[in-house]
Amino acid sequence: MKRLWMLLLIPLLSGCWDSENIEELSLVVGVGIDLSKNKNEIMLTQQILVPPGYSLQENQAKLKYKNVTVSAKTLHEAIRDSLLLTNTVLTNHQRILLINEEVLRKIPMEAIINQSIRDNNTRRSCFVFLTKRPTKDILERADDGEIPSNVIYELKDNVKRTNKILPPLTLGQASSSLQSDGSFAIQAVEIKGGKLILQGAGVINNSKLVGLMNNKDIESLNWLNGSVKGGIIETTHHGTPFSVEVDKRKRRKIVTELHGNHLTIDISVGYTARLSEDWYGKENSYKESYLKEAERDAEDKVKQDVEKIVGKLQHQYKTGVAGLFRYVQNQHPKFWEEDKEKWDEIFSDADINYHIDLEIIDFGSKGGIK
Amino acid sequence: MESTFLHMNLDQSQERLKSILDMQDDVVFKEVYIPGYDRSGLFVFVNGTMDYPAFNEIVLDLSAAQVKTGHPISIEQLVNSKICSVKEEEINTYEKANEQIFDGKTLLFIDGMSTGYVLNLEREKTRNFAEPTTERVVRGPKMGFIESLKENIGLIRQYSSHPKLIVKQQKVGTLEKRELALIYYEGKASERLIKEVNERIDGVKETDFQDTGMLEELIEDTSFSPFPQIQNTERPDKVLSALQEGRVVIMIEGSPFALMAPTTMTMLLQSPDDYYERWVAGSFLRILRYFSLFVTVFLSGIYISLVSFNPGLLPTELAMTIAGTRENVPFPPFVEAIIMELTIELLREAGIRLPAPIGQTVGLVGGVIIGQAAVQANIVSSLMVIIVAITTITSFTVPQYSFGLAFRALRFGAMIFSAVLGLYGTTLFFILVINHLSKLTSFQEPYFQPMDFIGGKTWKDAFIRLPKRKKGGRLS
Repeated sequence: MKRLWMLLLIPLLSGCWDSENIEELSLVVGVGIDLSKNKNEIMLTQQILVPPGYSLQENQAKLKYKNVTVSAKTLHEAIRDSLLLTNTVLTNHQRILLINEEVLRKIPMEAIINQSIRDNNTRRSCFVFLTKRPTKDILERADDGEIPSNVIYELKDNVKRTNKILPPLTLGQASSSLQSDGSFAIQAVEIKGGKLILQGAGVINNSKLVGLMNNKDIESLNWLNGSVKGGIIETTHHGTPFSVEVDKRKRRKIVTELHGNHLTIDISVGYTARLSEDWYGKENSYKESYLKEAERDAEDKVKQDVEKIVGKLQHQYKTGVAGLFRYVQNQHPKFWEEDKEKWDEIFSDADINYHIDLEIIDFGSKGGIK
Repeated sequence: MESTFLHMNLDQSQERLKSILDMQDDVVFKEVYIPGYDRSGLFVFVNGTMDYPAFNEIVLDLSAAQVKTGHPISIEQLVNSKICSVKEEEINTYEKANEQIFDGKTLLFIDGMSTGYVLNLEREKTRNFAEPTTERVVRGPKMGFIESLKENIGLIRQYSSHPKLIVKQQKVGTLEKRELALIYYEGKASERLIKEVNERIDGVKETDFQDTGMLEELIEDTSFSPFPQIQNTERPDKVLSALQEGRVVIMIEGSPFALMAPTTMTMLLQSPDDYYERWVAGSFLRILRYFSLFVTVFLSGIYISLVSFNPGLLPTELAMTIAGTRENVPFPPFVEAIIMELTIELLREAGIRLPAPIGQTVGLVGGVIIGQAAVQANIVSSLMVIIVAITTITSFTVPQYSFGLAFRALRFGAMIFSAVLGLYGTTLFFILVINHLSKLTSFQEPYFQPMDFIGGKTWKDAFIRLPKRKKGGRLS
């Protein structure tokens, strides 16, 4: 019995050394990285949630976050410096990482995200975005009572409804892409009309920002990848506009062929869709041929867009942002091992054939028979 | 002690008895005259135990006895025939007489005879059979045991008429000898088990028991465990099903609680309802009970570790809410939790001790005043009150009260471990409890085995209740 008591007392020796009460921590939800005015320093902005407090009635107008900005040579030093201003930082809940364009032009991306990746508190599932404006401004911009980080974090969920957003890039994905091929696209955040908006994207190649894309490019890139999950194809027939809503992807097949050093990529995707809007007065949706015609028009539109983006990728950015390298890696491992250094050139010279098969399975709750 | 034989003369006997029972004011001497034989009889008994209507009948019978001509019978035959229904034995020493009187028996001495008769005219003081108060069921028998062993065994015999149901009785105790009954089905309960139970009871024969709870502690496998290793019940249906499973039931005169051994943890989490309701409902409730057992022990601990050690594991919004509720609370989560858990335990204890009408007031004071006021005064966070409420409610779902008590106590252990080591400590405590449970035995049967080891049921019965299969007779 005496020994048992001794045993029970042992844990008390350790004390509660890791204990840190939740209300004494700074919960970081968003982090922004800018270049500092001081030379060779980066500026770190941390968005920290402030507990709503007990008596809600009194502080209803109170903002529920605060931003802490510090400058230092390295990120970790900056985080530690921020402790001079605020409670111990807890990055477990960090949802987004915003990186300013200028930073990426100057400093390799791998270096920028290095600390976050190394640190096992920051989750690899945290999302990375690019900003044109200083991240400090972005993180201060939100409607009353909203937290900018959360606004951005929630906007990315709309990827199921629109194809003008890139599939969200997590910190983990960014890190692994930087490790392997080194080229990918990264969604950008902007302020438009005083509101936060997902607009445009940046092209990262070899850890550097090599170009910018607009929303149209993003849409086309999504089509090329076959990563469209929803959204609208907008085009015209009989001189009037109509739109088709993407429903489900049925198949995606990407075949790569090698002739010497010349690469041919055949991309074939199939989607079901519904006719969601049609301005043509004499529509006849009950007739299959009418729908087939619409399908063809929409397919043509997508093909044109894809051709444009392929041209842009091959000649302007000269890099395979679309992640097509994985197919080459899988289908021609030997070739990839030898020539992966030259991937950008190979991609730029490659023939890319794109085939889309759209099937309108539904025209909603209204149709005409004229 | 030297034994003195009874006198033939009634007056002498009476004098002698009176001198023996000098101090006892509740011993009553009643004389009866038997006119047919011109003799006197003497009844001696303890006042409070007498069943007067039965006594009157015998007195009437004796005093009205006439000698029939033709077939004259002796006085012994006459008395024997009149008292045969209540006669237990004949005695011939004063020591025996003394013993029998205080056992609640009535003695009858006849003038001119050297033997006395022991009559059982005892009227047992019992309450009526009522619904068991500690183990209520919604559906199922509403009968519970009472304090009379005789009646309780009668109840069991009434439902189980099988001749292989063995009831072994013996007296235990030194000052107050009480009947102890060992009940089992011959052929169902293993020889080893019966031998083991008998040995353990023999070891504590000299103790006076007021309740089976005292016996339980003396015959269990180990005292250094928070868990009851013997199941107790007030319900005859539970006892009967235990008997059918091949377990041994122990009852003591004066206690409405029967002990059932051996016991496993899964048995303590089964309620008779499970078998009386449909199997889907039964299974659902059974799983719910396992879940609530976990909650009652670990929820406060998990709260402590999440709030003060691993806030990263909380969803962001929840983390914010918790931080908000805790903002003005002066205590660390552990102290906060201890305050609230102790308060609620105090309230529960107070509620049991107080008479029923006041008990409700205590509940009101506890729930409304302390809960609400403590939050408003920023002594504890509102979330802590919710957690305490949940742990308390879940602790009520354990069908066996004494088993629930064990988990209520363990909750504090979990809280201490969590406060020192965070989630790691909570996990450690979980492992510790599981480790202890798997080491524990009940009458040398593993306590933690997830099955009814003796009966035909399989492990499937542990967590869910599968549909019943039609079975043949239980006894071969």
